[in-house]
Amino acid sequence: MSDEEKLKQEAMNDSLLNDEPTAYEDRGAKRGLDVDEDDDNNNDNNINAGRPKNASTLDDEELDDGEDEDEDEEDEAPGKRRKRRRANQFIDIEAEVDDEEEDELDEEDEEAELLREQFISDDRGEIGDEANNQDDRLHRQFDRRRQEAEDQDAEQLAETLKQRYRKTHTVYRGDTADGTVSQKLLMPSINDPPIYAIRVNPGREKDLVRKLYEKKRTLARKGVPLDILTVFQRDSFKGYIYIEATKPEAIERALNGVPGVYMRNRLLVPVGEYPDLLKQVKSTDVELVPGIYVRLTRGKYKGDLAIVDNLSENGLDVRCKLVPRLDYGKNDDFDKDGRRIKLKLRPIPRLFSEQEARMYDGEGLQPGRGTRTYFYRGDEYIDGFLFKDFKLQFVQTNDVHPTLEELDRFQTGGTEEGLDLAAVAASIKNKNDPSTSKNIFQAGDKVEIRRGELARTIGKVTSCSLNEVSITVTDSGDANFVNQAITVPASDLRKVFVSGDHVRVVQGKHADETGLVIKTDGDNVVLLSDQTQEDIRLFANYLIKATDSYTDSFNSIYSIKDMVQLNASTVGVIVKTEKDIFQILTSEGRLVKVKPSGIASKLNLSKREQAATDRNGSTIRVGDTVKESLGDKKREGSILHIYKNALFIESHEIIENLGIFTTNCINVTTISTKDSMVSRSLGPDLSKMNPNLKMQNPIAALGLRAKQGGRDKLLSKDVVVTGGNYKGLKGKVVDADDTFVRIELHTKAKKIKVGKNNISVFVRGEAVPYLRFIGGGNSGPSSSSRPEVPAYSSSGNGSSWGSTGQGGGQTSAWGGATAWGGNGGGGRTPAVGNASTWGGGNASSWGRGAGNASTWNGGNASTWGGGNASAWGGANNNNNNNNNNNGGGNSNWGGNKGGNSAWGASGSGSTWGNGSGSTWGKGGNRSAWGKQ
Amino acid sequence: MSSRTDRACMLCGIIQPFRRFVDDGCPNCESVLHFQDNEDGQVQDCTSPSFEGLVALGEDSNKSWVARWLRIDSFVPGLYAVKVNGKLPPHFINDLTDQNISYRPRDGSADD
Repeated sequence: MSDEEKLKQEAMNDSLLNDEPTAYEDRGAKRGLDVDEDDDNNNDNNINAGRPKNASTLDDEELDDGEDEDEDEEDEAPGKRRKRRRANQFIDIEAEVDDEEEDELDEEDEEAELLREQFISDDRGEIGDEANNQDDRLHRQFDRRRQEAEDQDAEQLAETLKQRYRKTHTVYRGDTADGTVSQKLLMPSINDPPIYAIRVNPGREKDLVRKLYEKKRTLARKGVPLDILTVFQRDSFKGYIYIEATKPEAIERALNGVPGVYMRNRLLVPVGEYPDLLKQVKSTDVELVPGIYVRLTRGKYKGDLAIVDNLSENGLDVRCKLVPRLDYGKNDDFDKDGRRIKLKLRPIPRLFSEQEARMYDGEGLQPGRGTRTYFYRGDEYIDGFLFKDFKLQFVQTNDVHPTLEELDRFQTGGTEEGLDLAAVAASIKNKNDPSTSKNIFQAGDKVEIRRGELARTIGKVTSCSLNEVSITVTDSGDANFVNQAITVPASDLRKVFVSGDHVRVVQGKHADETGLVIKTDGDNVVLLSDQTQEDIRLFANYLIKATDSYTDSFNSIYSIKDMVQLNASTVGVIVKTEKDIFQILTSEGRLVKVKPSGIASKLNLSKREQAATDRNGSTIRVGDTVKESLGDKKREGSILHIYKNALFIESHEIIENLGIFTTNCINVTTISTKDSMVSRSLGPDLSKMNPNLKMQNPIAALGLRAKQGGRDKLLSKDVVVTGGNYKGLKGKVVDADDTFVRIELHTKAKKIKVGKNNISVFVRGEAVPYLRFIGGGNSGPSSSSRPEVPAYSSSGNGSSWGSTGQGGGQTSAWGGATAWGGNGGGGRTPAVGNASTWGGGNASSWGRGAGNASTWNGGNASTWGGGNASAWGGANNNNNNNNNNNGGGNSNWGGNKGGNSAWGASGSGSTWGNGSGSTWGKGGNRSAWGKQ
Repeated sequence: MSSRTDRACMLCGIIQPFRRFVDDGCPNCESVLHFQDNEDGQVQDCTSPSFEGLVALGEDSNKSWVARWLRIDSFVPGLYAVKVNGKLPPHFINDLTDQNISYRPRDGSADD
């Protein structure tokens, strides 16, 4: 009872003493009010506290009354009054009749009669003590009066009780079955009182609502009610309370003096948002149904993942299935007294083991009803899992985010039941997660509102923003809603499909599969996949309508032909993608099947990193065409990936594994390079690092690339610049690379860099243009262009060259690997090394090769064959040529030469014209060709 | 002020301490749910410790849209929950139906 009420009560009692009849009424009224307003406790107290007090006051007063009366009457007429009194003693009625004076005379006879009777009965009293009699009478009278008062009091009490009874057992005033109103009809209108959102200290919302409630009640009792209708708060709208009030001033009054409220931050909630404020189900809520994943928030299993097994009838207890954390007491310590000290650490989650339980803590174990069902320490374990009831409020349904590890733990037990993806999906549902909040609806989708006030309304999506979708209602229970545009949270919508729709999966495990809807069942859609020809059960929202059939790229991270790392030592190339599984050709040549999760990463090596050398020591890069030189098949193809020594080569002649095979770089020889120029720009030129090629610099002039053994022939040569700023100057070559030379000028101490094309080399005092010096000189047929060969020999490029020119028996000369070695400065099969370069070389090499055909063949049969194959196209011819005959190569070449005209006809046009035309022209070798 | 023993009536949504339900019953639903001094664990069954959204309802509830929307406009002033988790046990629902009282779960599962 509040102080106020106590005060009131006292005041009431006071007033009772002073002014009795009104006090009764007053009290009754007040009591009624109290009853209406407040709890019964107070009433009980009121009544119980009030009654004895009242009774005593009444008694006192009545006694006083009685005495007064007595005195009065005695003064008037003692005799008559005595008679009357006597009569009063026995006949109640008499007393009342008595009071009516006018009747007195009429009834005098009767009265006399009665009195006589009374005399008889009163004889003893009359005879006895008059005073005693008087006392007795008084007592009776008092009793009677009290009885009266009590009767009245009882009536009053009954009335109060009745009121109380009526109050507690008032007919339930809530909705009756007849008068049920659809929530839709309760939608707010502008005539409804406005709702203001008021910023408050976060965390104080509930307190404030209670405070304001108290304030309102208190002020209402004081008769100055606040004009606020309701105050409310929602957990989902942190930092706000909402006040429904007709007048904004009322809010100010209500909040005045309330701490923790930011009155300035007050905003009017749009009428349309009212229902959202008071929605019972928030869009982020996950409906608690058996099978979903939850997390526990209290106790030993705090933070653990659990699967909802069942819900209690009233939905307040959740039976969860979880992996128990038990150590069966085996890690417990015992203190000196032998008492158990429980280990503080939480045991790791493991399935229940009957053996261990029996071994360490046998008395706690009882067999359950089923097989593999046990009761251990009061908990039930089925199939190793703990089944336990948890309070609803200790179960977290949002932001569950099960990890794969946790899910796996559940997997170990349940064998045949796969992961319930739907459950996982629900648990992942989180509004903060941008990936899941991605709007899956598209304009034109047919959707159904699946919950809330507008549930079962069907509409068509007109537009959608991040989390909200605007739809036009096409079908609703309420005809008024049809064709209205409404905005609905995306999470409240479900796509509607009908059997026969062709759909594509956009989310989840089956993403990107397409199929035909064969059955729809609420949220679930069963479709027949185009890819696997199997039934898939999916959420409708994971689907979009699609006309295309989409087969590939299940996983955007990896695609076919990607080089991926499986573990530290294993690298492979994806050769096939299946549903959730990749076939990977590893660098060892094995074919393995790997899940996407089994792939550590995709290897994105730069071109610079993807380089190796073939068996001849020449650089090979991605895109180069190589051929196996070992093995029976001598497979060839272009390099797809290079990883250290392993090459992944794609061949068009092999069928299996997409034509991809793997081999070691030692086993291959280069046939052609993808782009000869590439080595210049990207990364170090490995050929420079190769000891075999050390001093040699391939001469690559406008596509005429001639790699050759030895140092650059220009080195230390006297040259004259024939073009550019330095035209006419002479100097000595000090350095040379593919396209440029550095010349130390004779005229002044300066080194200049000049393109190789812009120099002429002094050969025996005669300035020979570079290209002729380098290529033209060689291009001449060995027999006819004698004059040039001596020039060569005299180039001072080493005796071997000299011997080449002079020997005429070129075979021996070229075959002289040592000679080359001498040039190259390395020891290992230099000729071969060079040969490969030649093979990799292009037209220009031919120019030169034509002249030296026999010679070259002598050394490098196979290589040439390769070279010919691609470059000349006449692969067989050349192969024959090269493989079979050394000397005889000449004739074959002759044959080729015979095709000179053809060459001429092709005009050096396309092939030679590959930038070479002009050079040739310049080199003046056209005539030589013509000669051929 | 707020205490952990607070529970919300599943029928009307009023929030009261557990003790109060036992001692005095629910001010709105006593005539149908008979909480008061009920030994059968009525309070446990028909009230929920899990609720959300606190609404202070005054006497002038008939003017309030909030009260109408939550269907508490005919109830006594007090604190009410917007959402009460849990449902009445089926036999209570049957009882209510017999008494021509519509039970509308306050846990968000009502769908009209």
